[in-house]
This record gives sequence, structure tokens and C-alpha cells, in this order.
Amino acid sequence: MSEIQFILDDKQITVDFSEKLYSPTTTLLKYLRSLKDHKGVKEGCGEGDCGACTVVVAEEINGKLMYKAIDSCLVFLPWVHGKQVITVEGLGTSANLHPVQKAMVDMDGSQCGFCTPGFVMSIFAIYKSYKKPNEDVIRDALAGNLCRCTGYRPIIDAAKEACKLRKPDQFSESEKKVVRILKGIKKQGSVKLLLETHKYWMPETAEEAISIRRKNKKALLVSGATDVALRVTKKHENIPEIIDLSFIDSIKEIVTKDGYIHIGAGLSLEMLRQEIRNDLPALSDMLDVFGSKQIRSKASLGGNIGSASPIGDTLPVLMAYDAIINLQGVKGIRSVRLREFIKGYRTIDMKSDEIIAFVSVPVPDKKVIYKSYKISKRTDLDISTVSACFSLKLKKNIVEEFSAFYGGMAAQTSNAAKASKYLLNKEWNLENIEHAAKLIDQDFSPISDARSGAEARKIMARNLLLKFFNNVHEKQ
Amino acid sequence: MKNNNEMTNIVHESARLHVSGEAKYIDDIDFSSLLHARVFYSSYAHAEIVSYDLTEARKVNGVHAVIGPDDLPSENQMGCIFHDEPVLAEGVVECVGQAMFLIAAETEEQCIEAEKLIKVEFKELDAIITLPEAIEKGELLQPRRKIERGDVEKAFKEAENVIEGELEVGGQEHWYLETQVAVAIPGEAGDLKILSSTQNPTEVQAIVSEVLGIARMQVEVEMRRMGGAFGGKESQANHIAAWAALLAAKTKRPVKLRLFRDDDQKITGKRHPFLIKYKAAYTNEGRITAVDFEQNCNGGHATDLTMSILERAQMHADNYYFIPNMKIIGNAWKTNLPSNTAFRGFGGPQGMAGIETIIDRVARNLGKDAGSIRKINFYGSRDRNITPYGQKVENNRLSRLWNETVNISEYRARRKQVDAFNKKNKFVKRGLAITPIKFGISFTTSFLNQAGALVNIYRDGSVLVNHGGTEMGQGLHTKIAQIAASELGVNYSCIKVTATNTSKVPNSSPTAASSGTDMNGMAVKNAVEKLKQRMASVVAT
Ligand SMILES: Cc1cc2nc3c(=O)[nH]c(=O)nc-3n(C[C@H](O)[C@H](O)[C@H](O)COP(=O)(O)OP(=O)(O)OC[C@H]3O[C@@H](n4cnc5c(N)ncnc54)[C@H](O)[C@@H]3O)c2cc1C
Ligand code: FES
Ligand code: FES
Repeated sequence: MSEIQFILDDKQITVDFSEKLYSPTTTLLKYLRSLKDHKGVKEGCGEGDCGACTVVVAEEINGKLMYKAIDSCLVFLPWVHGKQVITVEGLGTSANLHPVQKAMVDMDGSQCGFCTPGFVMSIFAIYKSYKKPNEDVIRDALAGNLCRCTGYRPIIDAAKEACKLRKPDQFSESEKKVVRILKGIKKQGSVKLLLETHKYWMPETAEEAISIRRKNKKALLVSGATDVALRVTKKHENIPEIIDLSFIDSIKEIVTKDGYIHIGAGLSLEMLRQEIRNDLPALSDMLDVFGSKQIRSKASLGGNIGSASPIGDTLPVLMAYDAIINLQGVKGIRSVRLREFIKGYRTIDMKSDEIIAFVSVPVPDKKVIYKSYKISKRTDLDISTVSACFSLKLKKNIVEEFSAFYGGMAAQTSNAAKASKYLLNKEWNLENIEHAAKLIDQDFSPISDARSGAEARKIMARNLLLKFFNNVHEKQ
Repeated sequence: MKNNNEMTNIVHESARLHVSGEAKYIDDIDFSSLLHARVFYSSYAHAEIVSYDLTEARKVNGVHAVIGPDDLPSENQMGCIFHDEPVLAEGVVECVGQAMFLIAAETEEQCIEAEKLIKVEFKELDAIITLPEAIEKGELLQPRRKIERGDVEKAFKEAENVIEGELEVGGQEHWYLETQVAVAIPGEAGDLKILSSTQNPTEVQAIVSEVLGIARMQVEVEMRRMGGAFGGKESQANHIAAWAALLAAKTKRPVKLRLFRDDDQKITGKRHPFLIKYKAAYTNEGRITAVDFEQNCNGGHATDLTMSILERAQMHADNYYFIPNMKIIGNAWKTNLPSNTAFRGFGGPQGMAGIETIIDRVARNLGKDAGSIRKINFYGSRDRNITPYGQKVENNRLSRLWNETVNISEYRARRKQVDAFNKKNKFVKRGLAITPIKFGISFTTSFLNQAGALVNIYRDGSVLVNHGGTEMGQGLHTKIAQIAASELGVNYSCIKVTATNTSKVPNSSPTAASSGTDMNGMAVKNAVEKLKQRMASVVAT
């Protein structure tokens, strides 16, 4: 098998990789720009930071289309199998503009115009997904698009204007037909691209994935690919074998059962963020400043844990909540506390036949305060310099439980052990906090890198504890 | 002037093309038999090139050329004003990102494969990166510049108060959304057509012709639109075009060089970091009587536009304030960084930051609002109106502007709110400032303050306008079309402004120095006037 099928704007497309025009790690951006009539999509960075390459993908879910904006520079082409890809050309032409495009013209939303197709697509995703988006929704959806010329105000105005005039468009008309076609493609079952140079598996069940993994030890697991794709676009690496977990529906569920919130490892961070806002606020706060909407719509929780990066933003939060990682292998499910699962710099306790299937977070004790923080050079779409999540249980102002998990302070996310131990059974007051903050210096010896000096990191770590103290104080 | 509403309510001439993805940037144009190019660059800040070997790279399937410094047809020089920047590093590399070899192949992937096979042996040398290092042990790129007026030393002796200090102003990456790109297309008899994302097609033409050793008449440079520039494509687009041209001349095939973002950030220069040392004297009221500035800027490894930028910083060191005694030294340091270059403000912001820092410190020392300190130091209308560089400040409207801004913005009320907030809050603080700016429009190299236009009126009444300016998003073409329409007294829709082209309007100046509309607009106006006269004489007969 060497083919994938999808819809590009309104046309049904088959890409046959055996023709060697494209490889399974060709990005969607590169593919689109190789076509004569799809040069609207732009490359500004090739790493998810600018949004110039934004396209909208429609997925069939329960007979309806769900629209989301993604960065096409981070998409391996096979991922679009069974989906509809909508580009700026699909929206309208200069002679016949889509309402979103028209609003951008009317509100003076473009100057040099290079970022514009990306903005148009991000706004189009809002247009299709929200009846009456407020300004927060719009800003959040545009945080992944960079404009160096115009200034964002006219673009935000254009988004408001477009959504005000929201009405059915050509995509509403074709929805039924698209759903039928996409269902038809899905029915044909899971796809394996077995080529001379590359192998790319797209299993539909965890069991299938595990059996492929057992037989192909070198194959790399990919979920949202927002981390892995950079190895191709930035490091120019060749990845010959990939198992793409993003077609497995069973690992995209979220259920609360037996005192745990069970989160599928394949669930996108954006969906997760929406689902847990009330139950795990420290996690949703963190996800609010995680990448951009384009990144979160594609990135998975499993991928963030699987990367085991010292600045992986969900890690300090999930460690504070004492989450459990459930690995599925040939022998079934194996569960490990996340605090023990991360073994070191980008290393995890996962066997060669296993995948992370789901993450179980204990339903938080109402008496425990959880709070997460992220310090980065800018609020949106930036990597943490230092991140932290604190948990605190007080009884009559005496610390009964406390943890302070930090990212960016060591080769792996970890608890400020000395500081935490010091605070136990002490009174929750500024004097004790200031003493504990000093102990953080003994807990970590951070590095200096492009993002920050070691000394500054230490100051941030100490000050975050003070900030937490103040925030708790303000609440009480 | 035509119908007022029509003239003022105009969207960007390309707006509909932008939003539909139909606007073509250089990388969007398909060429048959196009080769892709890649620059192999230094990974050392400073190193001797002991040896290199290109044989394996040249053998890669699909590779058509790998060029080193020995393969250049003409001089190894591409500096735009001072001739101190090699096309390809020879013997030594002086910054990370300095170009060493050029590759052309059928695909970008083949270029990358070839790049991985280039072997270079370096011997690392000491590098100078920061300004303090440069000041301690470095060298100047060009002789120091000085502006001086009055007697600074005497004023310091007589001063009621003196402050001294240092201000560091950091660099900045342009991050034009469209990275640097050029396509070079060989024509007949050694001619070349270049599509270049440049603010300065004429200079691209000049550098390409010099690098290839051919006449300027053989090089045609065209620029329809840039995906942003911000100064980053004022001189450094030259390099990209020159490299593409060398490969095109060598392979006799069209060659496209489009930098990946990472490579662009490493290869090209940025805003100049400054380290400004200052000493200032002021009265107990807050009047500044003397300032001694030493402006040190980090020029990178070659001069590029550094001297003009530094001079502009010096000429903006007074900002809007009359300072009777002033000395401004300007040092451009050579460092092992990519050559820093034009960036919005062109040294002006750095220069102004120095004096504004002084104002701020004076205000704090005297316990007054910085706005009030600014105000008493403003240039006057009748006296106190000569700048340290001898220019008279004419038509000074600052007092009026200032008062209106203070009133409209309710500055005083806000000030009170901010102070009250800050008293109440320990950790979160607010700030408020009002700052005037005096900025020099036009080029300080005064012969550049000229422009040309070509206006074609066709017999159906449609008008095609060309001028020397380039469109990078600022809306220049829109404004030029408005000027042409209003001068001709025709509908805006009758006018089309097309790509800037060196064979239509020769010897143009860069589109920079906040002068694009004024200069090119006047050239268009001038052309239209001539055409109108000619038409009038026909009508009269
Ligand atoms: C522009 C941009 C911004 C970003 N911002 C942030 C940010 O703010 N905070 C942050 O923490 N990260 C950020 N990232 C990094 C990245 O997006 C996240 O780590 C993301 O969660 C990765 O998820 P993914 O599904 O895309 O992972 P992938 O790229 O698919 O995989 C990442 C790793 O996890 C492994 N893996 C994936 N799924 C599984 C599984 N089910 N079982 C076992 N192993 C698995 C893969 O083998 C791979 O090693 C950013 C990345 C980009 C490009
Ligand atoms: S090209 Fe910048 S996000 Fe994809
Ligand atoms: S209009 Fe130029 S980057 Fe947005």
C-alpha cells in the first residue's frame, strides 16, 4: 500500500508515494507549495512559530465536520488521510472573496501580506467553530500567527467583523458530501505506507500499534508530530520508519471513573484544555499559555510526556497532581507514577513494545491548592524559561502537604525537595516561605542557555514560590 | 483632486490579492529548469580556514555547482559602501553565518545532502562578540566620528548637578515574514535578470554586476513586493542576489536562493546594539546644560551601513532638547558577528534612548515627573533652536503638540492614578511616560535624496506608473497611484503601479529613510506635469 486519500478544498486527492514525488515525511506545507495553484500558504519559519503556513483541517466526528487551524509546516503529509484540508485558495478568489477575506480587506488587515493567508485561515477556523466569539476567543485563536507589519488591532477587528456577518458558506453547503467521502475513506481501514525508503504506519487501534511496534523496533512513535517534525524541517534528519498514533480513536477519550480522570494520550492539548477547565485548573492555566492554538490542536498529551523535555509544560503540573502513566504493551497495561516515569534528560521508563495509552490524574482533593506558573520571554507561543506547579494543603495555617515541581531548573522536571521538606508542618507565613525560597538554591543547579542565565533561573524559581505565597494569601 | 471620498477610502493596492493568496512573492513564481541554491556558512565566530574539500559535495546526484572563493569570476567583494565584505570567506571566517561556499542543485534536499559532505578544517581564533570586549581589545571599523558644540568640560565644572552612567541598547532581529530570497535568470550574451526581495534594486544591480564583472546594463533587477523588510533588505538583499547570480552564471540555469529561517537569522545582520556612556550636567530646576556622549555600536564583522547608522544615532542624541554644550563621540566597533545593518529608525532610536535615559534620571534625582523635565528642555522657536550639528529647528510645533497630547491623553490624571496604584501595590507596578521625538526624514548622504518615475499613458486612458521605490507593505504603491490619479485628475482605478525595475527607472535610491512617498511621489508628480503640458499643447493645436 502506498497511497493516502484526502480532500483538498473541494477536490478529492490521492497521493501515491511510490511515485516518489513526495515522501511520507514531506510536510503538508511543502506538498501544497509544490502545487501550481496553492502558493497562498506561506513558509515563515518552518517550526510552528509564525502561523504563515496555517491551513484549516476539517475532520469528520459523529457525522459532523470539526474545523481546526493547524500549522502545515509541522504536518507529515500522511496525517491528512481521511481529512479535508482547506486553504486560502479554497475560501475565495480576489474577485469573489469569502466573508473572512472581505473583512480583512475592509479592516485594513494586511500590509506586506505575507502573514495574511495564515491569519485568514485562523479567522476562518473561528468563523466555522464559534457562533459569537468574544475578543478572548479571537485573541487566543490568533496568538499563533505573527504579523510584523500591520499591528494586530486591525486583524482582530477583521475577525470580529467577519464573525458578525457569519452565514453559511460553500463549506456548509458541501458538508454532507464531504462527510460522506471522508467516511468512505475511513471505512477502507488503516493505512500502511510500505515503501522502499520509508515505512509509515497509521494503525487504528492500540493493539495494532503495539504489534507493529514489536516487529519494527526502530520505528519512531509519532502522535501530533509537533516535536518530531522539527527533526525533519530543522535538523534535516531522515526518519525512515514512523508509527503514527493519531488515527487511534480509543486513546483520545477522557473519562472520570473511580476517583481518577483518565486522559487518553492521543487527546489533543486543545481538547484537553477545554475539557478540564473546572476539574484541573492548574493544568488548563498552563495549557492557556502552551504553544498556540495551532500547536495545541495537533499536539497530544502523550507527546508532551513522551518528549520528557525538562521544559515540557504539562510535566510539573501532572507531577504536582501525582498523575499515573498507563503504558499499553503486549502483556497489557502497566502503570507508573509520572514522578518516577521520567528517568532523566529526555528519557522515560517505556519498554520497546509499549505506548503511553492514557494518563490518570487523581480527582483533586478540594482542600489542596494547586497553582501553575510559566515564565517565558513572551506570554504566547514561547517555551518556558522556568515553569512550576505547587500543591499545598493547609490545616489551621500549618502546612500538611506541599510540593513544588519545577521545569527548566534541571535536566528533568523535579520537586524542590529540600524546600518542600522544610515547609512541612511549618506555619504558612512569609518568613518560612522566604527561608524555603533560599533552600531552592540547594535543590537545583540550573544551566545558562539562550533563554536565561543560571542565576536568573534561580531568582525566578525563588520568586515563583513567593508569588504562590502571595496568590494563596490573596485568595484567603 | 478627484472625488474626495474615493481618494481617502482606499485599501492597500494588493489587499484583495493578499487575502486570497493570489499576491505573488518571489518564492511563489514557478520557473522551468530552476535550480535551488544553498549557502554553506561558518559555524565559528572567528577561525582560520586551514583547508577544505568540495569533491564529495560536487559528486552528489542533482548537484550542478559548488562554488568556493577560488571560483569567483571577479573581485571577492560585496560591501555596499565600504569595500570590506568578501562574497565568500577566504582564509578566515569572521562570524558565524559568514558565507563560505555556494551550492546549486535540482532540489533543496540535494543541496542539503551536498552541504553535509563539504569538509572544512578550521583553526579557532579568539573572537570578540560583545561591546565591552570590543572596547577593551577590539578595533574600529572606520575612523571615529565626533560632533561637538560649546564647552562641555567647562559646563561640567560649573554644574549644579552631574550624573554619569552607561546605557546598553540591545540588538533586534528583523524577522520579516518572508525570508531573504532572490532568483537569478541567465539571459543571452551573459545578461542576467534578477528577481530580488530588496529595498534597493539599484544596489542589487550594482553589486551583482561587480561580483560577476559585467556592466550594469547587463543586469536587470525587478521587485514586485516584499513580505516585509524593515531595513533588513536595504543592503543585505544584495548578498542573496549576488550569490544566486554567481550560481546562475556558473550553471547557465535559473537559480533560486531562499534562506530558511534559521539560516537567515544566522547569516544576516540585525539592529546595532549600542553601549552609550554618558555624563550630563543639569540645574536644580532640571535644565540640562551639558551632555557628553560616547556612543559605541556593535557593527559586526564588516561596515555595511554602520557608519550612516552611527551618524544618525549621533544626530539624534539631542532628540527634542536644546543642550547648549554637547559632545557626541561615535565609535563603530568591529566584532565577530554578522554585519549589523539598517533597522527601522536606523540608529535614531538608539541615539534618542541615550538622552531619554538622562532625562529620566534627572527627573528621579529631582523627584519630578519626567514629562516636566522634558518640557523645560525643549528646543525653542526663537532662540535655543540650533542643533549640535548646526541645523536650525524651524517651524517648531512641539509645544502645541505636547499640550494637546497631555490634554487629550489626560496625562496628569493618569499620573495620579499610576502613583496611587503604585503606592498600594507591592509587587505589580505601573508606569507612564510621554516622550517627544524629533526624527530626521531623508538620507543624510544627501545625493540619495532624489527619485525617478516613468509614467506611461496609453491611448485607452489607462496609466501605468513606475518609480524607484519598492513596496514592502507600507502602501507606497497605493499612495503613488493616488498621487498619479489626483495629479492627472482621473479615477484611481485608471492607474496601475507595477514592479520596480532597474531598466525602467535607473539609479534609484533605496526605499528607506521615511522618504519613499515624498521622493517618488514628487517624481511621479513631476512626470505627470510634463505629460500634462505635452497633452495640453496637443489639445491647443
Ligand atoms: C511552535 C511550538 C511551540 C511549542 N510550545 C510548547 C510549549 O509551550 N510547551 C511545551 O511543553 N511544549 C511545546 N512545544 C513542544 C511540543 O509541541 C509538545 O511537546 C507537544 O506536547 C508534543 O506532542 P506531540 O503529540 O506533537 O508529540 P510528537 O512530536 O508526536 O512526539 C513527541 C515525542 O513523544 C513520543 N510520543 C508521542 N506520543 C506517544 C505515545 N502515545 N506514547 C509514547 N511516546 C509517544 C514520540 O515518539 C516523540 O519522541 C512546542 C512545539 C512547537 C513546534
Ligand atoms: S511556517 Fe511558521 S508556523 Fe509554519
Ligand atoms: S502584513 Fe507583513 S507580516 Fe503581516
